[in-house]
Amino acid sequence: MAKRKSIKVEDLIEDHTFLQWVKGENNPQAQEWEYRYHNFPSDRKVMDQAKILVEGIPFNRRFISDQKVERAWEDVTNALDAASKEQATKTFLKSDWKIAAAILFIVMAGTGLYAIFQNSEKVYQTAFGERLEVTLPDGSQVTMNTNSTLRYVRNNPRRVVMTGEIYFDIEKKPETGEPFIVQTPDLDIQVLGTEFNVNSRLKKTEVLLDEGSIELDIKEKERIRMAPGDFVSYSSLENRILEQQKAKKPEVITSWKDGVLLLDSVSVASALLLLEETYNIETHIENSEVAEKMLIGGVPNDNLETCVAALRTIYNLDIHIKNDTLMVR
Amino acid sequence: MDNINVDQESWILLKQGDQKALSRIYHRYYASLHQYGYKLTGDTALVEDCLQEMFLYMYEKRQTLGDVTYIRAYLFRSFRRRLLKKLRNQRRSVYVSMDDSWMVMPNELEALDHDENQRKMLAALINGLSPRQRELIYLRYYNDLSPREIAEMLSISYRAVINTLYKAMVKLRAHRDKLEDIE
Repeated sequence: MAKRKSIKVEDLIEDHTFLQWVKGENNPQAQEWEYRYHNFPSDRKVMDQAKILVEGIPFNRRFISDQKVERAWEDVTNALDAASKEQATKTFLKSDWKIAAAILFIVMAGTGLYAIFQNSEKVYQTAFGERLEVTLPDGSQVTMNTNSTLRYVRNNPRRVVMTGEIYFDIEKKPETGEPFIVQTPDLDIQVLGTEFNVNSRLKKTEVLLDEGSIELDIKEKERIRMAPGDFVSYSSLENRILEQQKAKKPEVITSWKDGVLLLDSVSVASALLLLEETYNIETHIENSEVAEKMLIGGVPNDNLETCVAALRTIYNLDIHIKNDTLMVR
Repeated sequence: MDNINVDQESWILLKQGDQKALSRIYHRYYASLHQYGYKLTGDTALVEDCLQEMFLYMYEKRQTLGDVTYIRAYLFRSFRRRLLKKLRNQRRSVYVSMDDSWMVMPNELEALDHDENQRKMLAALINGLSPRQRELIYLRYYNDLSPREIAEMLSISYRAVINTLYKAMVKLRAHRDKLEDIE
């Protein structure tokens, strides 16, 4: 290095020899950076800055599948070139496997295997801080949040009774048109192949529909047909619909599936109530000023210690657990 | 050779009415745009509608498209604008809150040494940053836009991109160090 030019962050983050140095490679160029780092304090500061930017966040990148992209692309080309009707036949061929599944279903039903279990009940239950994924006999997938139950009679697995909070991804049964029914203390939900979240805690039932179509049968009252993105909250105790609208951020409602309790502009006091629900603990707050402080962010919903450490660090709260009680000062 | 030149070539061909060029641009960026839109709105149906409309619009209006240096920045910029417009109409409100956009889920992070708690903690720390900081973190480290592309997309200066990212990263480190001290 004959003459040392002054360096800038923007140059460094695009310089591949610098990237090699950050990665800890040991070639002459990387060594030159190493030398610079140790001998020129003014360069060191810039290099530290650039290093932090280059290291970034260790994301585990996942994107939608190629098939979905392709399907969406088909829609675009169809729209671009509406004259062509070829696509219709293609769509028909795709449903072939469903016919195969239907035949298999009929054959299996005929063997009488199900009769063994006929009238016994199957119960799934989650403890506090536990989440459970279950595949039901008809292929439907459910994810159960903490402190929830799901039960059905074995010869009728498409009628389930639940408490707590559960996310449903229901398999369609186009061959029989048989509906899937979810019963909560407040209402019944009629389903025809779809994805939705049900929360029946706190003396009311909240339903969020992600995909497909469902109908709510509110006992002795009315039926509500829901479209994707709709959110309905009903309380049989108060005998009224508390909320019925498009869900503002559906992923906030279902983020519990990914282990996150989202604090969506809530006060410390309300956040503590959420934590009581989630972790089955007592909470206690001493300072009323702190109670009103607003929180935005996501904390773990299945690990109390990590959750508390995060709250302490991010929001600078004086918070700790003592004898199963969460104390905030 | 590099993406930018390949994109430039596709852009010129698209303007001449080449549907294959549209397909190339579409396939190169659709999944990334989809992910970005989902993180912003949480609404898959809205995201897919906007994307379809945008690509149809690009083809229909190809003759009036200007010259663009960074195609990806152009796509993200016009997609973002479309999403926000639709959200405003949907909610009948001028103001669209992004407070809970770009929330990081632990399973989106790489687990170092298979430490599940570390992922949860890092996700929580990132979620404690401002929405703008989180958006830039996603654009840079998830969608892989360069700082220059991000600046172009959001109409802010290159310096502002670097500074915002740097501040966010420093804050994450400070939090992490504080946690390690406790343990």
